[in-house]
Amino acid sequence: MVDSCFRCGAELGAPPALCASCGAVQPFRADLSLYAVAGLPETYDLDVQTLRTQVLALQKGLHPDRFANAEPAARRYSLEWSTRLNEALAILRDPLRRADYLLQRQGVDALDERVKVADPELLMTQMTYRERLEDLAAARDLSGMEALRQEVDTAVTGVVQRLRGLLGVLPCVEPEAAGAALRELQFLDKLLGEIDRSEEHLQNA
Amino acid sequence: MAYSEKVIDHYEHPRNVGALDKDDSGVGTGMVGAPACGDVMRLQIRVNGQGIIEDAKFKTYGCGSAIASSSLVTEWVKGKTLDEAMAIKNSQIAEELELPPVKIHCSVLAEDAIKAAVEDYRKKQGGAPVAAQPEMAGAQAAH
Repeated sequence: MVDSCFRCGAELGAPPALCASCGAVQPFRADLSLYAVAGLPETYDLDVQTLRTQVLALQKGLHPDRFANAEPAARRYSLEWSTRLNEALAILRDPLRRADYLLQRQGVDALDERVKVADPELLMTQMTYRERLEDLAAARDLSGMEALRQEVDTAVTGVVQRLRGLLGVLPCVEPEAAGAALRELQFLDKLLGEIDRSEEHLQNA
Repeated sequence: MAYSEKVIDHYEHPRNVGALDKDDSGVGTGMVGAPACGDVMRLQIRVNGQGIIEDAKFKTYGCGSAIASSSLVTEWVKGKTLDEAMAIKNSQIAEELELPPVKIHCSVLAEDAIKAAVEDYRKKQGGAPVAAQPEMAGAQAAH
């Protein structure tokens, strides 16, 4: 689909936010995916550096400061595109939120708060991690916490690798398995947050 | 977030924290997790020869509401029969603890945990009553 500039009619690139010909900021398109807004193909396996470079370059052209003296509509469009670009960077840079976004796009809400996990092996692993963290905190063992963090980081890498496989072709043909992997990643992510908090607590005490 | 006094009481003075021997044939263990919050809950019961729950322990890693919900359930199930324990509803837990709507899922987790513990005990005893099966099936289907 080719979009054209609402002002001069010239063909627009991807994303269709700014006209390369007349420089007009285009009406915001709420229908575009976060990938389309960033002008990137919809893939899970995404190079975060490319994403960041791309978003920053687009932000430069669309920043509201550039339109401070423009007509109200242009000011609003630039703000809307900018806000959405920030959202794209925040969500797509994170392997967890990126997977969640892609699954949501196909109607799978794997992290809905009503979704519960009964997989005993996963729960046992998570319970054991938490117990170890609790013991390390009680023993004020910072290096032990660092070792635990590395272990959890390795586990995260493994799950992201699995998600890469499952989300290699979109829409995902195994949404159940992808959802389970995403939930595991979410547990690990929360655990890393707990490790951060425990370490901070020890360092400030 | 404003917790009710009852939640704070259970959070600061959790009842029955700990573990029972999960390999003991008289012990049932239920583990559930809520990925959205990262909560993990383990609830265990010890059942005597008369089918009465004589002890209950829990360990929950999660928010105050999840800890309070599991703490409350361990208090409630002691002295109850398995069927009585199975009849505990999350709405009763939520009501007792005055949980706000955003924390209702914590009470659901505690209900699931006690049901899973009873299921585990019954499975160990060999004859899982038919009536208990559909509830687990229902819980699984929610994935």
